[in-house]
This record gives sequence, structure tokens and C-alpha cells, in this order.
Amino acid sequence: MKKMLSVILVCFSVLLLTACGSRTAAVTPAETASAAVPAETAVPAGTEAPAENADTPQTLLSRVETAASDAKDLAYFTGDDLLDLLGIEPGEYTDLAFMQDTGMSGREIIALYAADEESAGHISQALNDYLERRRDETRNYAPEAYQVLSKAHVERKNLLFVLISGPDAEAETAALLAGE
Amino acid sequence: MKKTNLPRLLLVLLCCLLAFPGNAGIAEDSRADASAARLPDSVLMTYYDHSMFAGDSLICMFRNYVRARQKTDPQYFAGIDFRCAYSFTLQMAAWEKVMESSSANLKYKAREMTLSQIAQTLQPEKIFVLAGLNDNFARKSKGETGIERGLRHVETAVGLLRKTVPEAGLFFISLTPVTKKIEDKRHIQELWNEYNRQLEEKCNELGIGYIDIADSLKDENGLLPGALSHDKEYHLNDAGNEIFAQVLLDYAQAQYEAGRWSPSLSESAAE
Repeated sequence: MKKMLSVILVCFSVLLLTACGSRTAAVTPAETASAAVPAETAVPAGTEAPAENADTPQTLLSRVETAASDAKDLAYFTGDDLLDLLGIEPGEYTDLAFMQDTGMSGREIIALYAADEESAGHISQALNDYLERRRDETRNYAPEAYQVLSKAHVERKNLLFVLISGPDAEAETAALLAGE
Repeated sequence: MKKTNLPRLLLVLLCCLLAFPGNAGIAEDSRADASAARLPDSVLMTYYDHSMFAGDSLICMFRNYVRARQKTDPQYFAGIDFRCAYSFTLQMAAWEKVMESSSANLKYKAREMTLSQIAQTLQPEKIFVLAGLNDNFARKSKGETGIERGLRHVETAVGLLRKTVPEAGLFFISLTPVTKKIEDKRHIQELWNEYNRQLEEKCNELGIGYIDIADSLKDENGLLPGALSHDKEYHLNDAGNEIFAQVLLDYAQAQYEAGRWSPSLSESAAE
């Protein structure tokens, strides 16, 4: 009887110590759901995962990175940004590359494949409206950016749309359209 | 020791444990501890989850800086929804509906909307506003100084936001300093310092948050160093926006140390 009581008391003491010890910290990084995504699974915003098969067509992003030497210095925008800034819905395109510089130089690249002809009509209008708004926004506020955006225009080949502003816009646009 | 003493000893031990439970540490008490360890940046960033940052070109530049960082760290301030227009003003922040169509209006799906309209649509948990760069505080109008006018707009904007998103935490961010180039031309830094001082008072009066990013950006002359500005006038470059980001992280840490926020609570609220 006394042995059993001793065992019960020991077990209860151990349980009590364990319960108190598990609440010594308010937060540990491992407890949060916001831990950084491991690098090997992270995919940059606004991009598709790089193709692993040599036969898989290049993504628009990789083609833009090839055509524009400063692409990797630019901020990559997402499909959400495209929706908010241009009103183009995710179902209207099948691939996207959308970038801006982190300053106010007016440097910008938008390239996307329309999902179909119907979407292409809306995309064309949306890109031209967006370009007009950017020019209006920068006309008095950022004259250098306005000069750059003034020379930009929307180009299309098949279902591919390209809007590039910057010093090498013409060559970069030609390089992207050449692949069609 | 005699075997018969062991149960008594264990009983005494048990009584000690039950009498002094606090010795093992309690989670809630440690949250309010001012000497709490600095949380990792990735955790501090979650303070800004489900939040909206609205404002002028300064917010646009910060958005672009965050997007650039997200290329290598997709979780970098990933919970922020940015709404900005280069020429957005405090006056526009106080509009209940769009008064005139212009590129200076905020956008939602490419449609021009006011701050309160977008907030009502998105229902963010927190709203941070940075505007005033385009409001001329030097101009007096109808007997009202520029600062008085600006603060009136702040109060109106807060009233509208409280009506449309009553549960959201509201915060105003200070104006950033100008560079020597602008100060030599316009002599406005002292005026902006005064606006920031009164903005903080107004925020306290309204019971909303105030985040001072100005002090961390100033050099020994109280101005924005050219090294932190890409146009050498008003706008922050990547180095300047890195400081902006750091101030936000420090603010989140301060909320944690004050017991006003716990990452674990945010997580469970999101679930």
C-alpha cells in the first residue's frame, strides 16, 4: 500500500513538473505559422517555378530575364498586383512577367500571354489604360520617368503582349516577340 | 532512509510544487516583460499580416522595395496589401467617395476608390497611412494653417475608417525628412517636424497608433542624407527603405514587449 502510494506520488510530481516546464516561453519561432518558407520550396512572387525539363518551353519570366540585362535588379510584381493595377484577372492570362524598378526612373516590363482572343481584347485595353495612367502620374511628379514612359507602347504578337519602358525597350521588345 | 519516510517526503515535495506554481514560468507574464528577447524578423513581420499600407509615392517605393526583397524571401512582409498613388494626399484620405478622377486616386482592381472604400472592401486587420508629402503645409487657407488642415484631414479619415472597418487597428506614419537640396530650396523641414510632432499628439488623442520613421532617417543636421534617397530630394532608395523596414520591425517588437501583441495570438486568430 505504501509502495503504491509512493509510486502514485512520484508519477503525479513528474506530471506536474512537465506541465509547468512546457510554458516557459511565450513564443518560439517554431511555434509560429509564419516561419520563412524553406529556400528550396520558395518561389519568387509573380513567377512560375523554373522548368526542369529541357523540352519544357521557357517561362515568360526567364525569357524576360534573358532579354533585359537589368531584370534581376527590378522588383517582381505578382498576379495580385496585375489585378489591382491593371484590372486583369488571373483567368485572362496563362503566363506573366511584371517588373518595375525600385526607384522612379519609369523602368517597367510587363509581358503576358492572353488565355484567348476574348481575353486579348481586354488585356490590350487594360495595358494601354495603365500606360496612360502611369504617364499622367509622372508627368509633373517625376519628369524623368515621364520621358521614359512617353516612349513606351504596347506591342502584340499572337497572344503575347509586351509593354516595356526603358532605354533598351525596343530591342528588348523585339527579342521577346521574336520567339513567337 | 527508512522506507516508511519516503511517502512523507514525496508528500512534502508535492505540496511544495502545488504551493509555488509560478516558479516554472507563465507565458502571459513574460509577454509584458520589457527585457523580452528580440523576436526573429520573420516573426515580427507577422505583426503586419492582414494589414493595408496606404499612401503616396513613399508607400509606392516601399512596396517596390518589398517586392524586390520577396524575390529571395517570399515571406518578407508578405502579409501587407499596398495601396498607393504618387500624388495621394491627406485630403484625399479624408474623402468618403472619389471627388474627381485622377491618377492620384488609390486603386482597387484598376478602379479608382477612396481609402475608406478600399478598406471597407478588403477589411484589413490593421491600416497604416503615410501621406502629407503632397499636402502643402506651408499654405494657409481660410484662417487655417497647413498643419491644422492636415490634422483635420487625419481626423476625418480616422472617422471614416472607424465607420467602415470598426475592428481595424489604425496607424499613421510620420513624414520622412527632406534632403539638404530640398531644404535649401524650400526651408520646410522645421514645418514637417512640427507636423510630425502634432500628428503624434493627434494620434494619441484619437487612440490610434503613430509610427515615427523620420528620426531613424535623419542625419546630424536633421535631414535625409543623399545616400538614403534615390532622387536626392524626398524619396527613399533601397538603403532608406531598409531603415523604414527596420523601424516597422522595431515597432512590432515594442508592441510585443508591451504585451499588446503576441505572434501566437495572431496565428490562432488567423486560424
